[in-house]
Amino acid sequence: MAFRYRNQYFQDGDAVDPAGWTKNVDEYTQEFNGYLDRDNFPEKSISTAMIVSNAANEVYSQILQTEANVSIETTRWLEDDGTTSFGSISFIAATDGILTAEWSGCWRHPRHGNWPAQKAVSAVYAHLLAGSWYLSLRLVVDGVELCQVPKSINTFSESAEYMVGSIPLAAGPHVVKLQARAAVVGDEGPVINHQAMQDHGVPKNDVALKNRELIAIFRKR
Amino acid sequence: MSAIPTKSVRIIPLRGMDQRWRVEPTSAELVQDLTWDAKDSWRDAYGYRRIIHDYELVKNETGEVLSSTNAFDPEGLIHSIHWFAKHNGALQFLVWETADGELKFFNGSGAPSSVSEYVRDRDGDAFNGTDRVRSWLSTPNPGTQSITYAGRLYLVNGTDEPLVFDGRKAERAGFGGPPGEPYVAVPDKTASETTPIPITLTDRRIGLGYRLGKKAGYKYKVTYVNERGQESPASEASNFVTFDNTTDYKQPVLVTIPVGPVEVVARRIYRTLNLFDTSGNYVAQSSLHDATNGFENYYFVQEIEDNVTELVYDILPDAGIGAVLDETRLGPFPFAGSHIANFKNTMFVAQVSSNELRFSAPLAPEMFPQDNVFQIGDTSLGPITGLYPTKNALVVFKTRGIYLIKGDPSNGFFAQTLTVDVGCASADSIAEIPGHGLAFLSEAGVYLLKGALENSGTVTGVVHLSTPIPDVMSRLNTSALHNASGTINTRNHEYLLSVPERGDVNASLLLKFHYDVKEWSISENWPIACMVTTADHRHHVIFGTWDVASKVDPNAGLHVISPGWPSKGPVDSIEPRYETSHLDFGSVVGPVFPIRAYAYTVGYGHNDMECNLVINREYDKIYSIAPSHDQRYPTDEFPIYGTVEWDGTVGTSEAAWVTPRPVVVRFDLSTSHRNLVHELQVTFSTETGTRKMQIIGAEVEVKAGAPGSAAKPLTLNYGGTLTR
Repeated sequence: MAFRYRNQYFQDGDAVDPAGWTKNVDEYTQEFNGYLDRDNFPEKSISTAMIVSNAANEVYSQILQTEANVSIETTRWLEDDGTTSFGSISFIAATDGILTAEWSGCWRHPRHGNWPAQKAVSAVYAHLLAGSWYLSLRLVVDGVELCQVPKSINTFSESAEYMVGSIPLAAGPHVVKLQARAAVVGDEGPVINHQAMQDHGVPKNDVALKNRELIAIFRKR
Repeated sequence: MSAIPTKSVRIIPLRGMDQRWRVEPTSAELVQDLTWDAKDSWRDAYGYRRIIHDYELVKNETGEVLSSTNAFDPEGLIHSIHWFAKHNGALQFLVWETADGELKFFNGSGAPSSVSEYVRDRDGDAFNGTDRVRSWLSTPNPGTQSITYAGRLYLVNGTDEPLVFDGRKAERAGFGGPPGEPYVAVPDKTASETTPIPITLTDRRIGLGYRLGKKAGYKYKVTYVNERGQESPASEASNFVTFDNTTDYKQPVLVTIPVGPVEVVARRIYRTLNLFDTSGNYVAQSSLHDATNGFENYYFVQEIEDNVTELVYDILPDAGIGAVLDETRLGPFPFAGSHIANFKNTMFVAQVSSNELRFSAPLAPEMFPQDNVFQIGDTSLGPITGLYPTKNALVVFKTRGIYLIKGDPSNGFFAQTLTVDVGCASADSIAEIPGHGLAFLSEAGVYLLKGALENSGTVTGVVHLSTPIPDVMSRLNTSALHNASGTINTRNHEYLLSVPERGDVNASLLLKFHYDVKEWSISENWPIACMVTTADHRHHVIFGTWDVASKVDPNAGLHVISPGWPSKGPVDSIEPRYETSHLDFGSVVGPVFPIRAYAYTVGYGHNDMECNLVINREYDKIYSIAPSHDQRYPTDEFPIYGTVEWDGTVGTSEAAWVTPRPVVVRFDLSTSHRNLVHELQVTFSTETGTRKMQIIGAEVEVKAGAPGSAAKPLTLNYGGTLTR
């Protein structure tokens, strides 16, 4: 309760004592420098216009409409590499704070049923035509995974994803990146010999990220 | 040789109340409406006012206020008050309950017309006495006790569900019991009982049981989780589901889990390992599960992060499940908890109708394992009446008995009996006096638990603190001591204790223990039902009142004490009074004759100080109208409030500020119309209608002489020459 009360009482006949006045004023001065609270301001007395931009939060956004292919030729996480823009935001935090990053976007890859076999498919790889294509997406902040969406449903040829996560950050430069990877998965795990796969008639189809947006909201301490 | 042979008795410093027959002359029989000052004097004490001022309702055309009101006018009896803060004190909450079933907190942003908000539950329903109601018993009882933990306020009152308030909403603390058991089945595609077609999982990485064409079987349990991560006791085991895998596939299990109460934000599913071995034989006993004894280990399967889902497919193989469920760590929040404390990251809760003291798992304040229980004392020693963590122990009070809980969560807690002679009669009276110990009110008086509470070379013991004030303590209504409340007035270095006296169940007498000098004083007319000191830099002492005669009562609401108030509430005046002890002059056959008293006081101006005498402990004072005198030297010409003008004059001098200094105020007295004096008490007070006074010491000038001394003509003693 951020109220203060006078602590000196004066009445007619009392000597005029400056210390009493000072002590009453002291009660209020002790509230300065950080002690004022919600109790001290009328409701709705502070409007948005009274707060400078970015005083409490900084919001960054990156919208990408250029398709980015997620190669199935590797199982490592792919990110901005100077050629392909998956999405990333860099900023410098002036204070410690909390970062909330979210990503939404859609993707496409050829549906298995529509894939024309490039040649007679070997029995060894036949099941790959029946599905088992996956896309994984995640957000990383300074290399630390922030959030991840489950593997995409392989029976869809197009779909959309959304993910969001928060992490405390120290003051200083930071980078938020989208990372993606796609794979063909057999019974024994990801297929990495894609050349062999293609040699046996299974088409190699990368997954394409389409319209997407990366948002970073930094809430200052 | 002086004209009148006199002796002076000087009493400095002045100390507090000591009502025993024979005491030090520096003691007082009564110290009223005074507070001990760091300059070693007694000054007029504080009054109280509502924490929010009145505001105007109606004015006339000249601006004169015709009607005013106060936000607390319609407030009901406030029977509990609590203070807690979040974010290291940056966000503070003053929380209170009323007899109307309300639970609310202070919000000054709408002042002066609106100063509180109802606490609301997760659904938004307000604790306003209608939508949600907090219980209140009019008979004296421990009331609502609270503790702060991790920026939250936990409230228990022995009747309602335990409540936790996080500043935004309130909800039940912990869980009252386990969820209902889950129901599990093997799903099939046809729902046919005669020819079920199982849903099969051909992927080797998923599915339950072995892919060996053998029987598999599982049991499940489920727990609730609230938003603070506290987990309920585990449910009973589900039905035993069995199914037959083939060498080509395994199967999922469909788990039907119960939806929990409103505070549930997630549910956790646990299950056994496969209760059949690779040969398809039922596992009777193994290191992993002991089915023979009806006990199986359950392992974490999945957390359902909602309170909506009812059907969950379990496809995790045994190799993919998580850690074993430790049910010894789980347990419900104690039923009918009436006292609560936090000690070493462990929550302790005492129940209203038993000797049991239950404690939580460490760092899990709402999970009380079944075995975490102490039986404290014997029922003949009364119920547990208070918990207070201090130093390296949790002090457990019973009506008659004090116990210490020692140890820690890692090595285990244990209980020690400190005494079974003294106990606590009022949980709200317990307060820790800095540098001294733990003060509390018992049926036998006010006591202090002092010492290090462990074997460190410092004696741990119980000290009777109210020994010097037997007359005051004899006034207490011991049947209503639950209504006493205490706190530390940090600003004035006082332990405040409001107590009910005589036939009144409500507390109205305020005892003050001035702990810097270990002295007592009292003040009357304090309608305190509950009291708290804010733990911030402001150190406000705020109390809720029982004095609610009507729904528009000038005394209703929350009050704050301050020396800046002119009176105690709207009615009762502050009447500083210092009555010395009965000064004993040694012999009844060698009487004295008081002729003057001097008050060593601070020169506050033209308001009078009064002086009176009591001789030989007689009932009546010497003067029916006490002599009075300005609190200044006669030659002082102070500029005073109500008279002096800015840039004006006082006498012939320019008016200026005055720094009050010690002065001596003299009172000429006579007791010649009464008995011979062998004991003398001097009383100093302010005149009616004024309150400022600061007394440093006293001096009594007496004429002493043995009876039978030869009379001398006064004229000679005065140096006269007339003779006959």
